[in-house]
Amino acid sequence: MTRPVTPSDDELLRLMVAGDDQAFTMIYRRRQGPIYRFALLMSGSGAVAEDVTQEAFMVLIREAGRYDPARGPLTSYLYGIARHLVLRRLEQDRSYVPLIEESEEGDEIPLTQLIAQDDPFSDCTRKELIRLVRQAVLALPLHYREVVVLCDFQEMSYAEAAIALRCAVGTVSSRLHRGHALLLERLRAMAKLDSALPDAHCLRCFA
Amino acid sequence: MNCQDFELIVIDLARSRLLDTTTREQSLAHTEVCAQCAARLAGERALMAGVKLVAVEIAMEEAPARVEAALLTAMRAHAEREDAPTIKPLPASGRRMQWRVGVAWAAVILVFIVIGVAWLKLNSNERKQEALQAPVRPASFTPQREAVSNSAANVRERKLAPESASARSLKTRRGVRAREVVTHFYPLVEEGELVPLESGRVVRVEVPASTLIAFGLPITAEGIDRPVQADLLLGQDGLARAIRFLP
Repeated sequence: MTRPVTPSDDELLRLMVAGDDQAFTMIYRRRQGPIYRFALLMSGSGAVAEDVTQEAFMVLIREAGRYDPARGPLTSYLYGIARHLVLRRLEQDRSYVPLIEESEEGDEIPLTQLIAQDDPFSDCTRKELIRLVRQAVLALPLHYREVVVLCDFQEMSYAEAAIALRCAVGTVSSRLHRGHALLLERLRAMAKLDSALPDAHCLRCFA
Repeated sequence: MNCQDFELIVIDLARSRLLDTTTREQSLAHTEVCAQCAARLAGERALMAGVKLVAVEIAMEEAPARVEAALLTAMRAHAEREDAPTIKPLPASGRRMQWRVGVAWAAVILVFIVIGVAWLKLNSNERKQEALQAPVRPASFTPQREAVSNSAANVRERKLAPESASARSLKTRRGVRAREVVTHFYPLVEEGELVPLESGRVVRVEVPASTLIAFGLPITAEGIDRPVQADLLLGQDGLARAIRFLP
């Protein structure tokens, strides 16, 4: 009996638990990129993303038995671990303070503010736009940020994101709406600030 | 469709996701009549365009190769630890079987202990009884060689044979006598007068204290009137061959 050409994550995990390091390598190469990018977008730091990726897969090695396929795919399980590690890391690195004040969930933004009269990024170059979006994402409160990163950047469905975040699908949907609203608001503000103060790119205080 | 309904689906509309054709057409129709919702959709589409740009920009970002190397090392080490023999809990049936075997062993050990204790007790009682009876009961014994040698100094108690219950009891008595203060055996007849001693027995008797004087043994003035215990060695012919004293 030969191994399937593209074995499923669950099959690979079973082999990995049995001590097959090739199976682990396949899982790692298949899933490390999204986990690394998730951690990168969440933290804004390549070093943190590297640490989180390594530790997430270490957890998989040590505690593979805790993964329950009935509760969701392996990807969601790995995202869940990575999310926990990122939050812990960000909690430790309190020196990073966003310049933009974080709105609480209860704060209402008037709908009129979300309606652009024209494209907010019309004056931005591609690189500027990328930089602004990344900075705006980093400035989001964590519970909005993680939903935006998973659903928009990682293109996960609401259901998959809900498994990874251990919350209801409705919560994912509402947080995504709220996160988008905050992003749009901040991007407009940043775009205006950027044009007025071209050198004021840093949104983080490293003091 | 009104603006509130539109707000609920605007993100999915901008992402081109999870919308059936009817809902999509209704939404787009609403944007044609509602400038605010049209602007809202434009903003969301611009945002999604920016998100896609970032996603494409970082699409090739991944953990450095050293992470994979470190993890592979950790994986192999973990696999080796897992392969190492460990004490794993037995299944329920195995645990039951182990319990039964344990009980059986305990029972066997208990039986051995009981037998051992009983044997020791029996042996101890027998010794006590024989020790009490020893002074009044004569015992026969078989000397290995010639019973009595030339001189009194060479008269010794011999090994008893054959080994039997009576012999064991004699050994016990010898143990008791060993604790007694006794003299050597003094010959009562000259060598050559009698047939060689092949077997004999010892009889405990009482003799006057003056007898000690005849054998050159010391005697105190207070003990002159008291009888002295003595062991007479009788030969197979019933004649006394030697005597020893317990002063």
